[in-house]
Amino acid sequence: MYDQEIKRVKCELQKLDEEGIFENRKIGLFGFSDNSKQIIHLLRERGKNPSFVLDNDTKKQNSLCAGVEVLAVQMLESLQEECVILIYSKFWQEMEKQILSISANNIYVYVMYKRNISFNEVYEEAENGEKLYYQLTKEFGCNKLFLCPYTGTGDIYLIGTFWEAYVKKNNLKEYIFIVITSACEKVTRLFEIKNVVALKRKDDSERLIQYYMMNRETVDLKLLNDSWAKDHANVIEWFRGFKGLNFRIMFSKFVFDFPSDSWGKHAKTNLFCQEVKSIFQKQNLEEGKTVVISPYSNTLSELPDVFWIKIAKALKHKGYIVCTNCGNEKESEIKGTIRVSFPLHYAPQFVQKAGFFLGVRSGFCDIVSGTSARKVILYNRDERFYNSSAYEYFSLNETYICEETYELELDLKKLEEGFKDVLQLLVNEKI
Amino acid sequence: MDRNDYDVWKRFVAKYGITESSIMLMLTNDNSLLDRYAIEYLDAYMRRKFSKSAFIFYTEKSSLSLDERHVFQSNGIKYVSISKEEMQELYNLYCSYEFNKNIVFTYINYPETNLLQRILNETEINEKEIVCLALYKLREIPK
Repeated sequence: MYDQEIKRVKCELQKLDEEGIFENRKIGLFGFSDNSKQIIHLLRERGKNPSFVLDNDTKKQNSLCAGVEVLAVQMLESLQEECVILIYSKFWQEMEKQILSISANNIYVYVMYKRNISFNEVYEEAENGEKLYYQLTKEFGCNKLFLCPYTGTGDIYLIGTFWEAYVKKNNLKEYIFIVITSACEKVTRLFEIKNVVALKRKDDSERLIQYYMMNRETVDLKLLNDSWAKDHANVIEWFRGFKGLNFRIMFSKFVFDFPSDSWGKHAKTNLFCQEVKSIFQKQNLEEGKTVVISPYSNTLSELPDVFWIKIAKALKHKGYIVCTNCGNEKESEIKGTIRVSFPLHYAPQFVQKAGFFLGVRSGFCDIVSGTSARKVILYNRDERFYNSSAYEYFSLNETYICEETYELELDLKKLEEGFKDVLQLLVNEKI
Repeated sequence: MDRNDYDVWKRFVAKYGITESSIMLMLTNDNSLLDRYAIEYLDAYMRRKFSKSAFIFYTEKSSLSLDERHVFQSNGIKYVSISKEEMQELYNLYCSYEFNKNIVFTYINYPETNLLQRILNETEINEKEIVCLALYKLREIPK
């Protein structure tokens, strides 16, 4: 969900809340997805904590979706309390039917997904996309567009590692490279990518795609993604993680047409970055003795604060300076650590200088993967991504050629054991 | 593409009596084995969609024999023969606008962003897996 759609869903939630629909009822969502995660966050902003997420995929059951337990739909049969199930999915029709097939009168279903989008609406979207297309092509004097319609900074980094080879292979002279956030734009600066445009409105990327979809033969636009849902002619998303098709292979093969065994090339790290140097000075950080912790992730689940607080305390006790990388105002530093914030194109230099990195798998890990700092990357053992575990799909060591990178799948029920392993991997010491 | 292109779908609905809950499987004959698996797993797709009726549209040049159609035929499934052009015209519209969530085409190499032929050629994934995971999105292969 982007811009307008988030606003619409936010308004709907507010309306339901004001009407008292959530009062004395458990709140559930149907479908483990990024959209459900966004709705969970929107509910939390209103002080409402969802109790469960339903999913038919047995591999996802008993895992966590934005910290909320994922359960089988059948659990509704034995649920005594009243509950409200929110659905935001393009599969809303069968989801609604499935819930309604459970003859219980304590369940209320709300479909938040925009049910029917008319041809006229889509046509209008394409017309707006066309205007933008001509505006961009006129500005840059070329009509070849590459579009990254996602907010994932890790995806942009991965794209960047293959870009030079792709440009060379296809003898690309002029093109426009479109991203949808300023964070993504910062990541492109790490690579030799020309004519980068960060769209002011994320929805504009959907308009461009719709224009392309209605004029596939004439509009020269390539989506830099293995399977973007809006383009429903591309149906390969459920092969993610299937038969060894991991993050790197899906992109190298199905975005760039490179063989499966292709590896990208890291961004060059400028070790003499003045901006990084001044942050170190200002914050009293010490080169080679600082641990950057990165507890936030958009795609994968995060770990409880108590875990980080304990880790930070142990590291400080051992003489390390510990800082938390905070990407925006909503991300606060872990208690007892120094808050650091810097544009993403300084991230490799920053982590390189710090010497140590510890984080949950996120786009930030991709960006710092080329550094020689000692890095420990954490995954939730129970977390799935399509047809594999999150670790199998996103493993940093399987995505890039990395130095000093250790990866660990944590059992959230046994975090105490994980805590010891993390410290040993990070600083080679038994605590 | 212009605003009138949507009429292709409206005509199709009227001509074949498509209802809101109808499942439509469009056998394109791009890959006959894939078409067969699409028929074989149609019941799993219907269960997933909570639907009790389906149309199987096939082109005159389909590799399915009349006998085979009879074998696969079961309650609630109706076989309809249409022209290749009619199917292609409908798919062209579908590639621009997902006019219905219950329609599945077995094209594998058109348009450019349809990567199924490449999946078959360049990975260990087979036709059955394409049907269950990509076309029907069943999440796994039913046993």
